[in-house]
Amino acid sequence: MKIQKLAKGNLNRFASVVQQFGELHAPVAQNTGFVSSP
Amino acid sequence: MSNWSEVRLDYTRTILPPKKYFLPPQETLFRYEPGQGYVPFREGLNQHIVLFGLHACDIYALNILDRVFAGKYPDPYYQARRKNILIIGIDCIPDEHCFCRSMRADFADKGFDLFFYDIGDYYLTFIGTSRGDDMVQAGSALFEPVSAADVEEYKLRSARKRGSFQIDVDIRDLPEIFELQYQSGIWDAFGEKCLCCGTCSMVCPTCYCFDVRDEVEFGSGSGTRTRHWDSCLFASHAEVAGGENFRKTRAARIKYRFYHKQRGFVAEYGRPSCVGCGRCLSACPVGIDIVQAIRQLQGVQHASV
Repeated sequence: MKIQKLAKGNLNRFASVVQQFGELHAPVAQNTGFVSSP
Repeated sequence: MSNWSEVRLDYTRTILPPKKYFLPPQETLFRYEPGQGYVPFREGLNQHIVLFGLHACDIYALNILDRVFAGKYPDPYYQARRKNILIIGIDCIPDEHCFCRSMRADFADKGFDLFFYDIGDYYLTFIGTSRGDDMVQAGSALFEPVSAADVEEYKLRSARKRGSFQIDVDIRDLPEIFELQYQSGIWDAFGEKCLCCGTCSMVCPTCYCFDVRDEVEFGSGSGTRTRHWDSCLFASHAEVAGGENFRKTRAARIKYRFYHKQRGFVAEYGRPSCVGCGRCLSACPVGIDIVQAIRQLQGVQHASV
């Protein structure tokens, strides 16, 4: 398995990159819990 | 993603598990019309989605669903979604409800395209598939090679995580314990308490029972066939023609659910279908706790249902 590393400061830029592969869904807070949301 | 700043990668668990993407709570399977026969309903199956931030237990749960829906009896709807949805996992810190380590689901070695491990200022990024590699290549300027110091940091944090689980339950002899405890009075006690609301099934990442309904458009001979999440805790689940019900009591139904998770699935697929995500513990309105149930059956905790 290939392994690389990504600086945490670049995570949002990478999130922009992956949107070319599909609609991005990620966990966000909702009321007292969390939901996976676009 | 409308606003990345709202994303909470420190989340504990989502209310509904990722199964909602692959086996929606309700979906149309096909339409039927006179002269045309069955017309498969494929709307949404080709939608490309990137699921960001799945925890190892939820990825493990998808691997379990794969055995059901992409194994001996392949489900084309599930398989189409599995093909078109990419998965980026992320490491997590267990809370008071997590017991994925006990269920051997705290580490995913497959079922993801990428997996991020927090090592301080960086995420160690495991590339699980060629699609994952494509994503890394698309953002190649953002990635760096891993150093020996990174590996040491990963090992340190991994060991720290292993030691941070607050729940530890031994499952090695669970199938035998369940066999021996089939007539235990514990089940009657759980039946007294359980509301049979089905919440535990809905939030479970590996519960996959569904009900199939035909919605006929009267007069035209046309209609649609749909499927909906179901639960073995519902009184109608084991009801058959003529009104006979194989699991009339709540005790029989909750026993069935626990047996299917921890015993029946082992016989069929070689491991329990529970991944220890903790959703059922945190969502049950009357506080039924699968870990306590296991410990009571094992005799290491006195009944306090």
